[in-house]
Amino acid sequence: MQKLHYEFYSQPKITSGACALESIPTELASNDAHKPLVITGREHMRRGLGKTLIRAFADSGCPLGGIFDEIRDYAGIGLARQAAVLFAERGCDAIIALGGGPVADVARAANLLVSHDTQDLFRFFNGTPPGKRLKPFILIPACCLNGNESGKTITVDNRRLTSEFLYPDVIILDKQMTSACNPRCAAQSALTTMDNAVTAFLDTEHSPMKDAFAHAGIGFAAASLKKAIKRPKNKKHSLAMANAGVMAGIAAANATPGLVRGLAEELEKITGISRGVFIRIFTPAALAWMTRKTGPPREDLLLAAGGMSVYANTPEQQRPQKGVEMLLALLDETRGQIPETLASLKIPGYQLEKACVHAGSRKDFPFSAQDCLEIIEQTQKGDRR
Amino acid sequence: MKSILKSANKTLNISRYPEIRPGTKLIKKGYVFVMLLIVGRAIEAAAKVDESVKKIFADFPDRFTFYLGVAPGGPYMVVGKDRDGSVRYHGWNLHGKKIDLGMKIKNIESAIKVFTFQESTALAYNYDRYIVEGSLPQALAVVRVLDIVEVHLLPKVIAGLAVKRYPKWSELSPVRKHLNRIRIYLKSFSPSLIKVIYRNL
Repeated sequence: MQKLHYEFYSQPKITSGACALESIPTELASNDAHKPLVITGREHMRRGLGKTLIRAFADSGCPLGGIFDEIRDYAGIGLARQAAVLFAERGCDAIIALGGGPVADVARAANLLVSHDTQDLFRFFNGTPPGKRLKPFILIPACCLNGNESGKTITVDNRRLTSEFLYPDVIILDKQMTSACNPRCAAQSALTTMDNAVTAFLDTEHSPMKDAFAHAGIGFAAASLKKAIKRPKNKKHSLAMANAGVMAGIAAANATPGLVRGLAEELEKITGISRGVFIRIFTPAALAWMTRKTGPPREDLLLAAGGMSVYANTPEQQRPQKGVEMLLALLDETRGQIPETLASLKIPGYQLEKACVHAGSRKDFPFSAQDCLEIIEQTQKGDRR
Repeated sequence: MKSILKSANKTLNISRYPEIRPGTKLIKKGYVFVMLLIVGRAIEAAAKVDESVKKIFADFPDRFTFYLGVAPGGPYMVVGKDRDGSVRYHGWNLHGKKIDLGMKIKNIESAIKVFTFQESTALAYNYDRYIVEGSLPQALAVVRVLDIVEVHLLPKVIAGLAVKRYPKWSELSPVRKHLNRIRIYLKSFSPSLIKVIYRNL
């Protein structure tokens, strides 16, 4: 039956393909901005992505207020403040984030500061909602993505903030930027993408728009995941994976966090190990647990992951199970790049329990700490087998 | 921004992050400039030689002027219809001209894709590479003119890449095509070209 009552919010304009990077000045002009500040990471500058971005601004008449390249692998309030000071000193009127994960988080945190003309970022984390539209914010995903870049959530100093004002205004997907630095990074990005897409797809409150984004995300990932991990510098497949990441991120931003996502985010916060690793480890147990609790997943999962011919050739009763199998087979493509057992990570038991308690106490998380513990137990049992 | 500047972190050395003024791609701009000059002159010639181009321009209002160029700073090509109905290439200068229709390619890289025939004009429209200021039906009519001119100017192998659909023999006989091609080239590079260049300098 068609679902006609739903809510779906997606702010960004997505520009993908050849010359997408060169269209940034036009996008800035259409947002009434002419002097952006670029926020990026040292690693991205070392790989020459900064120079590529500067070249894309040639003949645009649009100066860059500066390139703040201090971001490494952690998003901190100090970095956001420094970027905000640079923004104000240079009289910038827009922010460009070149990179994923912490780069996008710091850029959005700096945008909150400059748009509200404040130095107190924690008032937003302590309950004061951002009250107005932020300065134009352009996101250029590059290298490793954590799945939250295209959504509405930032994590700064291990504190999460969700607001619809935090969506990027424009997302630029250009093959000059999207290639991953190594297979491990490609595998981690692919895993977060898959988790976001599956979370949105299996969300109990499903809507046609969310399904459309999640379906396309899974489809892109299913077609390119293997090749993107095998050859992370391949421009075509890395662009396809970046597209999948953005679509899945937007779909997940409109969905209730899934069991794996909530648990993986808390464990990442506590242990510092990437979320993608936990997704790889917990997803098989979580899918089995979900099937036991809420019944088999929708058969459309097979259509998204396997394509039309596989879907049509599978008997109707077997489609949900086959969909899960195809999904797990896709996750298996990361074998060799990502640890496969919880034991290999050597995380102390008290940290696992702490993560479960934190996840269970999250307001937006529909599962309890007990549910999370069950998943961990199932995973450990599976490891022993 | 006062609050942020007041709190300016003294440890941040702002001179480490200099302001960047991106350069210019002179060779690419030069190439597009020459292509626009040739196409502009060829449109003027084709309006005298080709019946379909003549008909398209006849449907435009009197003293209709349009430009095709690259955002934000050019190069441009300005073509207009005179009071007597004849089509003229007015050069590359937009100043002092009453423009009815503006067609800008968003950036020089996209323009290079169009003018090196990696993408046809129709495909470039599809990829959102153009900004149109004015009537969209008139813009599409101009795109049809560009397609016809490209068919006349370019060999079939290249023109096939540049246009949406290469005309069949029944639509444009090879004899007429080659005859028109010669006439368009002769008219385009006639001495009046020097006059146009001089007028625009």
